[in-house]
Amino acid sequence: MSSDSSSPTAAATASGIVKIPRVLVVDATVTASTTQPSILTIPQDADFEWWFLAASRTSNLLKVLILEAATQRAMIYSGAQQSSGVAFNGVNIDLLAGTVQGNGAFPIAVPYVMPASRAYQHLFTDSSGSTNTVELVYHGFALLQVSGS
Amino acid sequence: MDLRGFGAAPPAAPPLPALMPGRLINTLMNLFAREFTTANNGKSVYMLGEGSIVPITGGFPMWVYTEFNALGGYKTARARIPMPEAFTLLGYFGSASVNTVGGYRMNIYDVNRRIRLTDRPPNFQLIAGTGSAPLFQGAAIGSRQAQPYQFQVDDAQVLVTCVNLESSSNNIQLGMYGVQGGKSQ
Repeated sequence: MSSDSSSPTAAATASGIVKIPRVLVVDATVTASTTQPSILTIPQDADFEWWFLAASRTSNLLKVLILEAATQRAMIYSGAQQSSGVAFNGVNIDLLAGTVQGNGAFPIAVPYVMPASRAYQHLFTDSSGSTNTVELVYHGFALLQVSGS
Repeated sequence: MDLRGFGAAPPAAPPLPALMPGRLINTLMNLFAREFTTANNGKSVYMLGEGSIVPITGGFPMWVYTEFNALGGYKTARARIPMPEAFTLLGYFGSASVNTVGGYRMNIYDVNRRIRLTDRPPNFQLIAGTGSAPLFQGAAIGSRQAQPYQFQVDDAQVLVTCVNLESSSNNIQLGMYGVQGGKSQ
């Protein structure tokens, strides 16, 4: 399945792909000072072309790691660990994205196609000391394959 | 657009978007899939009707981070980051837990090419944004000619130097957002 990422307005491309706006959600309630996993599974009806990431949280003292399960590729990559004995628990969530209402949705700049049915593992680590409710929202398009277009 | 051929005819202007936006119903287009406004130039990478200004398709989005947890007061620390293969830099991100007199200064150095990507160490807030307010690499607006920086494909390394400007210890994160791989347009 191919896509034309440079033309979001194309209703149907020559290859028979129809782009339909889609929003995928990852939720987690992270108990104080713990790590909480959460899985995002791309719906199996279509690949997902990811354009924006938005996030809300109770406290900004929350770190995020994202891993593409099938390829074991880390989206958030710990290049170097300077402090010995301190695990890298990910990026502060406010460095990743903000809310849409606050004009803070992060445009990922190069739209990425997430294959249908693929799982993306999220690890949320709280350091606020109280329960942290977090939501990540992936904005983009479902790339629906149609016949006879 | 090839800027090397000064004698060549100017490139054709991009097609103008429709004066009035179309209806969402039956058009199967997302009118919100743009981020190209004068309100926030730093994150304007999507143009309505054209897509991304970054001339890459298919890359894997990646945040490459280093963390100083914690860096002592007035201390300087360095980290050598082994970069992922075929990484193209699109912007910097940073935060400091203590920021009363500026947080920290940072310097970025491409080890392989021996290039400083910062002339002098700037205050982190002047180079590294947040998820809500990033600064993507410069672009000639309207021509989709962003200029992302691609590190050496294999075994690239970046040397980061951080100077804590605060008298107290500081939890510092700084990183680079970009894409791994992909195809240049």
